[in-house]
Amino acid sequence: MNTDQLEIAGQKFSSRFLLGTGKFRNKGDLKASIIACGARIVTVALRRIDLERHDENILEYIPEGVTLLTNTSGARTAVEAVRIARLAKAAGHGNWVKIEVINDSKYLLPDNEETVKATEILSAEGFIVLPYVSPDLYIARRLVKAGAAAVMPLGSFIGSNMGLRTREFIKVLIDEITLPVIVDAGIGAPSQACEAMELGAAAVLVNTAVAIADNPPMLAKAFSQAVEAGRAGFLSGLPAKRPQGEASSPLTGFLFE
Amino acid sequence: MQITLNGQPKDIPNNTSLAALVDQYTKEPTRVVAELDSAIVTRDAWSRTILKPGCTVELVTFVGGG
Repeated sequence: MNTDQLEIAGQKFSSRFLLGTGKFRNKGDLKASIIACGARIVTVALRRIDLERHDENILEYIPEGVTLLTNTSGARTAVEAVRIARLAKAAGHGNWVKIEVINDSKYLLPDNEETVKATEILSAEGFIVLPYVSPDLYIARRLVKAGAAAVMPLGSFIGSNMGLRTREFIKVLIDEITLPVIVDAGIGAPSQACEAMELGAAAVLVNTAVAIADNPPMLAKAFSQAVEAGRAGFLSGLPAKRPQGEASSPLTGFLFE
Repeated sequence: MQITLNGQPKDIPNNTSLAALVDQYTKEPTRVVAELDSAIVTRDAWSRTILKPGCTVELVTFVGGG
């Protein structure tokens, strides 16, 4: 039994790898990926139904017992994010929401101010709120006060696969914020997820990299293994880096002395 | 009568209920959330909610997302 579980809002999860469900070429790949990586939390989005065709719903492909974290993608303001969150809750699949407020279509950077506002409103309404933000200490402190259940700083631009470009700023949040820090966005390879976990992140969320890989289930599993390895590395107390060599073998008893 | 459904103008018979509208456009009504003139209508109220000319209905559901 794994005793080192991810805990968010008093709930425990056996996996520290969260999977997004967008962009998969087919829903079979999505389901196989969720099973392969063992994710216990997956993100979904809310959209208008397609009036022209009766598409199969994504929820049919998400295994029973997995927590749905609905994002507020499409929201440009706190008010719009709140509206999406309330609609998602009315669907009857829980009250977990990832606040995502974006105004910028080039870099897809989150609007931290609007995100704080939405977090205040939705936390007060009893939602479990996980805000997606640019890593900023003051914003993170405000999110704690606003009642967030976790903080989700971006590693780099959404869908960019560029990895942990905000490393030092995320480290500040990990050191200074009492909430779980879940690195979201831009993580494109298992090594990058491992790096985030070694740094002390509570969890990592990946979508694009897995969804567009040639073999999504294989990469999903690799990510979860990397997250586990990184977590173990962090808990083990990684030794500090040294600027010069230090012998691993004894420096006594040489044959040539 | 005309209503606006998901941003599109739609002609529907007078006295159509929200439940009937939902049934017309999806096979999975249990996955759908309905908003009538910006207010959420819970599923149990759909059949007694009769649509009025010019009203705005949003029907949303879950899709893949990150």
